[in-house]
Amino acid sequence: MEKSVELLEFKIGNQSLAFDVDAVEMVIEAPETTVVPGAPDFVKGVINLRGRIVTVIDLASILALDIGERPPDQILVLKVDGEELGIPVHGVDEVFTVDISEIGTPVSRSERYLNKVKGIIKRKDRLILYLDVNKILNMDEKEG
Amino acid sequence: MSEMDAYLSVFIEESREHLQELNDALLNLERNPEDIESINEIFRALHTLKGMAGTMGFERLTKLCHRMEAFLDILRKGEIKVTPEIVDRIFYGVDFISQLIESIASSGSEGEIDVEDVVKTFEDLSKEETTGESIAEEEQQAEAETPNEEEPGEEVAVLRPTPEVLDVAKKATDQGFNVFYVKVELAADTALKFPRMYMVFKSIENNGGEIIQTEPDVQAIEEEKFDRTVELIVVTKQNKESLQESISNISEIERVVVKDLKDLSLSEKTAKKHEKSKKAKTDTETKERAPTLSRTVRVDIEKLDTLMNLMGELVIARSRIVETLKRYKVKEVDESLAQLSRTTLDLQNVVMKIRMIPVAFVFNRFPRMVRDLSKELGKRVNLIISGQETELDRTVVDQIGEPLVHLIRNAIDHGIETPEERIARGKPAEGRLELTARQEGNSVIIEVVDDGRGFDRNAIQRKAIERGLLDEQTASMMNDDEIFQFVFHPGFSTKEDATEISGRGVGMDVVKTTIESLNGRVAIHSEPGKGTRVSVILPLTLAIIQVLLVRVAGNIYAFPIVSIDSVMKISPQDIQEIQDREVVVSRGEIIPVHFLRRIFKFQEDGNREAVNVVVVKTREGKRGFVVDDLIGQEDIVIKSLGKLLSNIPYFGGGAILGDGSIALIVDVARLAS
Repeated sequence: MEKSVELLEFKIGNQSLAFDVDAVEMVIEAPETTVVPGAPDFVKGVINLRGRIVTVIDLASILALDIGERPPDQILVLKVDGEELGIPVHGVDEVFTVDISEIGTPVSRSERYLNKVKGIIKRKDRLILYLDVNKILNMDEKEG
Repeated sequence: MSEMDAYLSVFIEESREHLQELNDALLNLERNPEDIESINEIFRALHTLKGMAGTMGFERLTKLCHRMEAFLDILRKGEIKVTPEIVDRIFYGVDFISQLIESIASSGSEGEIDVEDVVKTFEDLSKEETTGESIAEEEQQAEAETPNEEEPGEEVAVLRPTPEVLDVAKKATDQGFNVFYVKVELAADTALKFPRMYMVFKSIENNGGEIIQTEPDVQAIEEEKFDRTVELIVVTKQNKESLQESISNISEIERVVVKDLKDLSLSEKTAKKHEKSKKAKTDTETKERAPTLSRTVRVDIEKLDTLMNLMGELVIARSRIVETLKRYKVKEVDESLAQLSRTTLDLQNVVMKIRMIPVAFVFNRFPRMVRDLSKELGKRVNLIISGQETELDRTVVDQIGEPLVHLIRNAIDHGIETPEERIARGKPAEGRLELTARQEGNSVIIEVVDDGRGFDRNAIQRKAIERGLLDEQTASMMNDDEIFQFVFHPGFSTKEDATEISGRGVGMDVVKTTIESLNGRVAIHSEPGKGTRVSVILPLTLAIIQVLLVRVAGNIYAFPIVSIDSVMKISPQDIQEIQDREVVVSRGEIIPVHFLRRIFKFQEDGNREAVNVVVVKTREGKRGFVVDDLIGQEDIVIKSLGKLLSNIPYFGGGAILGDGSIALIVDVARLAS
């Protein structure tokens, strides 16, 4: 069993979040997003990523995060199940390694967190939500 | 992919081809029972299948082919006359072969299919008719026909070293290399002859050897145009024994003879003679088989899809460059840009062509189906196929089979009358069923035409009204084709006694859905008592389609041209409300209209003087969609929207436009419902 994981820390609003760094394909400046009428609420739209059409997910609304005044200006491109997904973020901080023992059990602020958060990491003055890439879209389960 | 998998897929593809040959030849035989060439063809196909199945270790398939082959041999010798019953039996056997192959294709094994009964049938047939001549004897005789050509020990070589080779051989000998004449004989029934020979070549080369001449030549070996033996001249450091051993170790190699090259000339005289007879034989063989051999490469369809995608990217990149440069008016690049455009266009055409295959791939199976169906239903049908060389995108060809099956079944079941009924109506007893394909511009049109009883407009109309799909008033304004389209409604059937053949109205809706999913459409022309013509109109290719770009609330959407009926500019006052529905009346036709802004939940724009309406054809009739502006027509490359958006109601895909923005492609059928 691995002892530590490598994570990428990013921000949505004031909240610090992290994904496994391996799941992140790239970070791009947010291009124009095309709205897709009839799409589920958590889909912000689609973008043209080097000739490919990539769906952009509104992670802030999935996790009920407050994005503040400024709209997200960057997009984190993940690869989930072989498919690219874009997530608008307010900036990517750094890649860091964390010992598994330092990852705390998620304390549920809301039901909707439970299946999407792998753990909570305390780092310097911040609490980082460590998200499970494969479950962020798990909409079947009850939302809080 | 493991070596075995690779062979398995070759095995399956080739088996299917042989099955097709079997069916074709059988149909021929049924029409001309005296035709010995058809019997020979069936025999050959069975023989090849048997060999291939044996190599791959499929025992039941081997056994069945073997029994059938033995029976065919009896037919071939004219000991039994070909009767319709016998043809039926062979068809029956072929069906089992087909089942076995399909089982192998889907699961890799022969599954649960029991062939003992059918094998016994052929055993009995063979016994019944031949007086005492057992199958074992048949086999012996068959063996005797292709005798082992030489006695061991006295090798006769066909290969004649060319002067150049002799020269190379001499130099090699001078440098201390050994030069050998090698004769490799494959086991009888080796199905994958080239791969085996390839292993022989590899083994020689891996041991530092070089092959300087082969008989037959390498190309013939690659195409497997040889019987069982291949002769080689090898320059190597290996000695005779180790060379002999390394080749013998390869499986399915029955015999290996290694000799010093200089010993070869001794038997030259006999060789000459032999060569002559052998040559004559090969010539006839090549002639017989010539039509099936074309210089082709099998390519995985996925690779073609990738190529297609890359091509699409290239087309887009080009139009973006063109668009950007327009702004700067750089004269110097005009020429190279024009060149680039031409080349991409050519490339596009080539890639399209690579993906195209003839519709014959689907049409081929229909003669057999029509034969079986007409027998079952007691009808007489003359199937005429034309235009089977017309090419279509591979994906379309793959999917068009099922809809055509339904259309043909319907034509035979509901369309063509029984011989008695036909005679009573003054028609020839034999019905005529035409299956044609042709290209018209960017479309391919496939038609199923019968001279049967035709569609009854009134019956269909009545039924549609009964089911609440239509009201009298609308019905009276619809043309025949529009009324006939109702037969594609799920569960719609006008024939009261639903037969097993064309189901209970199930099927026709599949036709329409499948064809629409391919961006095609279906048109019906029918005259009561005279017959029906169902035309399936398909785009040549799927990946690039022509669309009309429109703007709605600042966003760009694309309507596939094939589904558009017309566009019109109207003033908002022209839209009337009838029974809670907004409609416009155009040339006496009432067309329901929908505001795209409303459907897409954009803010509505109340103070426009004129609106544009895109009128599309759908299963339910014409529908109009109100858009802000019409932008124009364009060829676009369809891209998937990804898994998350695959089930959304309004769009079937997206396209990237010249300026890098995305246009969503409207799924007209779903938008209208």
